[in-house]
Amino acid sequence: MLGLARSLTCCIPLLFAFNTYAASALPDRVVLVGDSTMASSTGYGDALCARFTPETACHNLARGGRSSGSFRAEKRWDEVMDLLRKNEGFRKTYVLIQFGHNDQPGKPGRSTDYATEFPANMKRYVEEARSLGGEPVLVTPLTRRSFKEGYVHNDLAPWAGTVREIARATKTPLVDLNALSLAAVQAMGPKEADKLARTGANFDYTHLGPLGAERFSNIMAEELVRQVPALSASMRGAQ
Amino acid sequence: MKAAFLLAALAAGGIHAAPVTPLPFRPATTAVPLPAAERQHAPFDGWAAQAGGTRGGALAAPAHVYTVRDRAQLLAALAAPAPARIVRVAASIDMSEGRAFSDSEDQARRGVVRIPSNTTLIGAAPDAGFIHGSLAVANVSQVIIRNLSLRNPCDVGPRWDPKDGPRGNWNSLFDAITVSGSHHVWIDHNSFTDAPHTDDRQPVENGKLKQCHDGALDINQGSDYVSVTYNHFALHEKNLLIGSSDRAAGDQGHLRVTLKGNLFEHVAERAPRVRYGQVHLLNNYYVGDRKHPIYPHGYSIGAAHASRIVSDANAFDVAGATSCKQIVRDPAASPGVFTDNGSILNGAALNDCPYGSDAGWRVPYGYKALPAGDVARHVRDNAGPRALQAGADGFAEARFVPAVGAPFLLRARQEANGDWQGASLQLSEDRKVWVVELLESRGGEVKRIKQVRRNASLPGVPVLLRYVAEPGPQGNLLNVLVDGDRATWLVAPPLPAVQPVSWDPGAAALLDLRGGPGGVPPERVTVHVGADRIALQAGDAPESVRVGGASRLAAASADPRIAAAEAAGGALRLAPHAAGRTTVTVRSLDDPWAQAVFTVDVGAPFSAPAGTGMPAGVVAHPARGERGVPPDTPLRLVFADEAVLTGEGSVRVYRKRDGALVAVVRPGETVTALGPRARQRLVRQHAIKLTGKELYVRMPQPLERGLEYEAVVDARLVRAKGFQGARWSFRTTPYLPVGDSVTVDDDGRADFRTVQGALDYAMTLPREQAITVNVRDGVYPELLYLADKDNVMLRGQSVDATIIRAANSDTRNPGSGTGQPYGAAGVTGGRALFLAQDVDMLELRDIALHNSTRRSDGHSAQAETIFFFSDQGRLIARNAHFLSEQDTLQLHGYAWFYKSLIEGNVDFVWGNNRAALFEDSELRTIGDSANPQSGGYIVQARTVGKDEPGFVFLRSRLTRGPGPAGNLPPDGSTYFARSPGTANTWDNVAFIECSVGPHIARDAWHRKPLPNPREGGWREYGNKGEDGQPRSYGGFQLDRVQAERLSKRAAVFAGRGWNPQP
Repeated sequence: MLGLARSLTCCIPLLFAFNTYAASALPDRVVLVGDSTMASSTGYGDALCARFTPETACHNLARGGRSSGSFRAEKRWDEVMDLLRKNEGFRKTYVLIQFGHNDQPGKPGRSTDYATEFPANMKRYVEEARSLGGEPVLVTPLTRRSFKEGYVHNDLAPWAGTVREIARATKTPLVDLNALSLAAVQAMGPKEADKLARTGANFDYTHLGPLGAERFSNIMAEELVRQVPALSASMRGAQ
Repeated sequence: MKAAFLLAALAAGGIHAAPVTPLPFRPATTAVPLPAAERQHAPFDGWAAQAGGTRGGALAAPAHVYTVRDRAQLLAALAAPAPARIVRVAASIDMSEGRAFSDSEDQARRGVVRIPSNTTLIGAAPDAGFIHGSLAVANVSQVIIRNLSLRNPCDVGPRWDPKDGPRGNWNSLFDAITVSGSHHVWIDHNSFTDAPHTDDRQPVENGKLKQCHDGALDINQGSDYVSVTYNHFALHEKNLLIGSSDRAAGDQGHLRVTLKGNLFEHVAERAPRVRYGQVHLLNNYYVGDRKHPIYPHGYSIGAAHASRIVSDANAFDVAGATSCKQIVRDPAASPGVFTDNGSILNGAALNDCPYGSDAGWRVPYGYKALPAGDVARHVRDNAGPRALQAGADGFAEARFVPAVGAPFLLRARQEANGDWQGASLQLSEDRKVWVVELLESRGGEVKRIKQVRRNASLPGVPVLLRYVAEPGPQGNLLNVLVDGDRATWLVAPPLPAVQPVSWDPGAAALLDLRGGPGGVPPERVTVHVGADRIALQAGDAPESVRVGGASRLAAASADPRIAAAEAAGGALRLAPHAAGRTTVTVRSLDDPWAQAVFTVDVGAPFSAPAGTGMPAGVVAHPARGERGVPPDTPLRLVFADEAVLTGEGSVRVYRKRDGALVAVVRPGETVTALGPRARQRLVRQHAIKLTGKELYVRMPQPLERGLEYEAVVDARLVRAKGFQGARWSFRTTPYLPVGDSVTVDDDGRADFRTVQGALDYAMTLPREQAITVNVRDGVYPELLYLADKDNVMLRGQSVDATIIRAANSDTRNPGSGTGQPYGAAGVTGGRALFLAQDVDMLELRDIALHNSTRRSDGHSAQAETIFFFSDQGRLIARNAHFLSEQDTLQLHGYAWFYKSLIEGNVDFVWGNNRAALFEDSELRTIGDSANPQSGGYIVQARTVGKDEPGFVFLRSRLTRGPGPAGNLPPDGSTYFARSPGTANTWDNVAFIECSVGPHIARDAWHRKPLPNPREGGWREYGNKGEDGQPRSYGGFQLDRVQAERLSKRAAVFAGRGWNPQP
């Protein structure tokens, strides 16, 4: 937080000096890094982007089926770093990072070792984003919505725990989406929760239809400004 | 063969020419049947095509087509009363009839043949022509003389003229052809020679050769618009005189003659000798010898009194000649002008020619000159008479004004026994549609083989109906073209064309006829206005309208006070001056038949509301003041009540920064270009649509990013309660998409507002780079084009609610569809909702494509949702939905449909494919809105290889459902398949372990016409009826092993080495 404040003070005079168009502030940029629960068509990422002002750039680079390991292996993280290297025109670039679903075992080519690889991968994303002047934000994995005996089965709890731990250790802002979404789904019950899914042949308890995207992006947005107050000015309706 | 020749000629390089349209460089006759050749008009690249053109006897009724074998028949044919005539000369006719002429007067009486106006005289047999004859084309017009072997006549009484030259000389009368006082004459593919009566057989008297020959071809006495092409002039002294005397001052401004592709072989002089004339010498070939024992070369081109000769790339091989001064001379003492470009003498550039200066005129027609180095071979291959082959390719074309009533019928190819092939065109009762048919008659029974409907052009405007046989990729093609656009075709052998072209005009008024060789696309003019109409507004700046096809154009407005029209640089500029209606005609300067006529409606001036008005109750998208708007946004207004388009007014968009007008969108059908400029899909559609309460305005091009724009809607555009126009501003997003995934939404935050906007973006990426286009729920009223781009996934949010829906059909946009280069003729984007051309690994997922054309619309109802036009490409459809009534899916290449729903009625799965697998899918036959009793056909396979799997339906459900009119197909009314009846495609279809509904016929394979192969292509295995019991539907029963081979994706797609996974 301190670092953020310092960087702001350092940059504001520059910004006034060089930008004649928007004297008030340069826009922020948000980059979403994650799996299908965040990606376009199946996740909440696009709906989250829609919550930012049109001046705030928001790039949803989350892709279905990716784990903390395969996202990097496919050079998708390189794309994020390329963006971070070209930060002119933006006040800050926030990189929201959410993995876990595909790090779980049983997914050849994607699963990561829970004890060693997953924490290392997540930590490295945070460090590299920071090294290029980006502002990483860790996000715990969105809950699935399958109920067992009246309770949401939280099979992602261990991965969420790891992410919380890394956030604490690296002093990285954290959106504990796993906890928040779990509580929300538990509160609405299975019938309501099923409405959050995709329709027809695409129905399952993981991915999101329009309603799910709306609900969870709402939770995300609220918690995001709580954890990263500097982003509140970039939210729609904030001005 | 011909195509190869054409390409070779075009590729030869070094082409130098006047500013031209790329006319095909070919002689007018290359393997063409007589009925086509005898109705050929003079080619565009010659003087004879100017000022209305030269058609000779092309309009002759079949009764006025005469075949003559002797002098008496010839004279009878020429004397018969006929407004136009064609005389087929089928023998070498000795005009002396074996009785020597007694004197010159006798020779004049018996040997001279006077050719009347509107006559085509054509050699129709080997060696057909005249001996001892002299063709006189005197004081007439419209004469064509082709394909004749002519012996230059020998005057039986040469006269001594002591004043001719310093020592006197012998003079003779009688040319092989004399053109005097005549205009519009075409002399083509004839041979002229003194042989066997060469000059060495004549005695020498008074110290001079007693020359009995006059000219081979002389053109004089004010003759005009003459083309002399591909003739073989050989063994003659004074060959071709253009202008007979310095004193004939009346020739001034006339004697406009083109000489192209002629072979002058051992012609001593006058090839030609020109006085006064504006003569264009193009690609002629001269062979001579300064020391020839009989016809020693004296000079070739005589640039005599007041002549103005333009020479382009002629080739001279003259032994002993070393200088242009031996080639070009003024035989007297009053030289004219000779200006040359690119000719060669004995292989070297023809330099240092005399009399060079500005000829003072420009060749008025477009032409291409072959490089002079290629001329010898080209001319040797093509000059002189040719055999006209009954089986050869060729076209016949009629130009007529249609009227309601009986169709115009053209019998283009007719055999000796009366069988014929041809076409007809009929104007519908409501005058909106032409019904075009491809016909064949055998043994007196006329078969209508194909029928299509085309939107009619404006009343009173002539239409062109062309029937052409030509080679195609799959064999001989029989094409029917309407105004140069291919309307329909058949792959079949042409009948031998022997009898004259004939026709029944029906209710139409025939204006003209012509014929010619196949294989060359006709000249066309395509003005990019939809439905032959453009609506402008008085006071607007001139509007530039794209024109495809011909680039040398003339435009004329019927009433320039309303709107002025001007053609410049391949485009048309229309300047609206005053309210009213007029018509504009845009014509090719090279082919006067090629034209486009359309209505210009000039309405009241644009009326913009003052201030920033958005009427109460009207919701705008983008909203007033909205930011972050995708640059491909359409403009939408949602009214509180029902609204109607008036057909007047317009929508305009201004760039706020500088007030620049960036778009004017008008109501009515317009031509829309989809995709990048290198290859665009052109379609006719309405850029402004009003559906219920919503106005949808498609922008002609994307806006710039990060700028503010103002949209203004004319008060006149829409009739709605209290609507006085609208004016509002919005700002486009500054951001480009990032990554391999983009979003499309008709509202809210997204990269694009239109699916095509996202596809256009995809086409800017490297071909291989994968991209996913995420389309959010909504109805997108779009036609789509994707070309030359692989690995695109179009992914909807949900198959039920992400819908691309528009009406397109074979009537609105004829043909299957293809992209075209910028400036090409025609509007060829075709009838599919989505044209995917030359793409690989296109995936459609969770999305619906709906072509809402109905079979009951009274159109040609072919209306694909997708035409996958990629012979080696792969298409994946996963949880996708395709809905149309007819031709729903047209597939080439390879396609895998998985858990998808395909709805349609007639031939709704079809195409020239290799392998398509429908797995765990539903094929739903819907009720026919035009013919409720008809259950249609699921498949029409045109699989391109005998051993390709074709269309395989695996573990799929064949169901029925209501059509657009609500009716269900009756029990037992639907067939699995019917055959296209073509011999070069295969009916390879298999239904394996499918559940089959009661709408399917007991014998489900429609055997008329018979399939190819007769047996074994239509396959079944393990299908079950409604009751769950295994059933045969009358096709070839596969055994388990055979069925296995069609039940695995890897096996079905083995030809592509592909094994797609769910």
